[in-house]
Amino acid sequence: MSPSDEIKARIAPLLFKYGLAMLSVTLAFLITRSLQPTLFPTPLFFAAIVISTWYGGIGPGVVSVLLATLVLDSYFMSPVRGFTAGNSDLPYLAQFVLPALLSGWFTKKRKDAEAALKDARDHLDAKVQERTLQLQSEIVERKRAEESVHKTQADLAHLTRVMTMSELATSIAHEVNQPLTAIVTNGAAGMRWLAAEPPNLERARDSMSRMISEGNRASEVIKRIRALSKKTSPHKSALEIDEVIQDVLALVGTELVKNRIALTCDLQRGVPRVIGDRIQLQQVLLNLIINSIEAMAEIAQGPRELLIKSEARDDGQVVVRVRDSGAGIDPKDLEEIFEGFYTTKAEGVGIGLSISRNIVEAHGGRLWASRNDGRGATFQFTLPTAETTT
Amino acid sequence: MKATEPIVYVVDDDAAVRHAIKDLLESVGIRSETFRSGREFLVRKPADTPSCLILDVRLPGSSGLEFQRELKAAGFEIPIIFITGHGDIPITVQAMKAGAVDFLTKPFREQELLDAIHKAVDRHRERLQQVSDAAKLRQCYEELTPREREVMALVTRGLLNKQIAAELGTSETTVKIHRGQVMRKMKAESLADLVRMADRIAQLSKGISQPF
Repeated sequence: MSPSDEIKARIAPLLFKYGLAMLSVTLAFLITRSLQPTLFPTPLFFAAIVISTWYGGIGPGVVSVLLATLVLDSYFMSPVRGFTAGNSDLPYLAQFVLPALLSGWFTKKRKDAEAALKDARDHLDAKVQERTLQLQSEIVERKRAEESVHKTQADLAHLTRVMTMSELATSIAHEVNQPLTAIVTNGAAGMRWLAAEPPNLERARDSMSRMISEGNRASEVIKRIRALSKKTSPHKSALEIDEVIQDVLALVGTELVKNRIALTCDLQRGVPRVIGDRIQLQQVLLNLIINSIEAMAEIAQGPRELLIKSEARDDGQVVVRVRDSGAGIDPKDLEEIFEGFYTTKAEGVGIGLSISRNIVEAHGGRLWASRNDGRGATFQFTLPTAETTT
Repeated sequence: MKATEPIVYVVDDDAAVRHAIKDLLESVGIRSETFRSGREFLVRKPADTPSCLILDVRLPGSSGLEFQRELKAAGFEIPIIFITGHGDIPITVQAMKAGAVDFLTKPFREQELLDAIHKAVDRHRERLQQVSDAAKLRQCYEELTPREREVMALVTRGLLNKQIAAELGTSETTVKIHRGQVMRKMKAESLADLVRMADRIAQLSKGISQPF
């Protein structure tokens, strides 16, 4: 912008404001004159002053007051046209000028207030817009956080179950072991009372009655555990089996890399949803995959391949296969491995597959193992879909 | 029952187990006392007879291992047989290092327990014997006059009477008399016996005692 342009830009509004003041007073004069009022020639001039002040501010307002005063004095007070104000006109003029100035001042105040209000409103709009944007990004952030929390919870649920299992086992072992110790020791004492010369039958009887009551105590412990396992009924809902598979793969990723195992996932699209306890099904899959990894970790040569496949069958069941190229299973072990406390692993406890089969069967499915034509073994389980269940 | 008859202390928080062990020991004629906690046992102040302690590793309050340390710190010298629900190897090693006689996993075979008890009681008896021997030895030694102690020290160093007389600036006859007094007061049967006693006294004064 050149300096002359700048001056023009400054002067143009001034010209407009003062021009408006003069124009409005002139209009008021013309209209008042055409109406020829006898008593009150002032109202339209007030209007002109208000308009001038409203759009022009204090300066044009004062100019319009001066103009209006001159016009009133020249045309409506003195019979002769002229700018001289006689002494008799002064009170009348004062009556006009004071209210005129006041109305100008009020108009200005009002105008300022409105401007402030408008300003505030604009500001508020901007604020609201800014905040909305912030909130939107916050919502996205929160969703992401929620997802990650969900994932962590699933991981944690696994750990807690595993932990609780081992703690529970320790506690049960202790609770059952105490009465067992008492039974064995009382039995030994009883034998010795009987072997005494002469046999002390009374003491032997005491020992035996304590054996009975301790046997009952052990049985009570078992009953309590049974009641406990009933309480933790599975939480079933309709779920995508592929999501469950993904959950578990996320957990075993590092194990696969560590053991240099190539993973192939053959997940059929649009497999119907199944009804099940997500965590229990994760446990089953985790168990099968860990077994496969361990079976492959043992072999020294040959490829290490893990295939996980899901598909819908015609009979309304979904089948999941876990196939490995590991050491394989002895034909005589194909069923035995599902028995509790049966293990072929050096450090195994032998409950993983038995628990897995229980879980699958509680879901109305089946879990079995078979030998591959080539190397390794395949474990597969079926689950009824949500449609067949309802 | 005689006061010198061995006694077995049993500390286990499970009443049935306590009772069963007591019953078993009674059936083979071993006296026993049972306690619910280590604290109860401490209050009892065991008698000065050959004894041993059967201690459950898992106790309310302080664990069996902690209690073993507490006993040691309090100067309670009693052989301990640990019994435990699960034979945790690190705990076993810790307990055995701290001087436990045995570490049995519940439920234990009764013969194992009885063997451990015999072993522990024998150890304690030996220990008590040692303590009382040491006390007797010290008492005898204290009855010697300063000159007799000097003579004893030189005799046990292997010096001849003549050499001792020269060393102490006295006659050989005087040395012979002192030497006879030493042998009599110490109840020594031979010179070798006296040398062994001198060694033992030296050990005791250095505070060396044999642990369990």
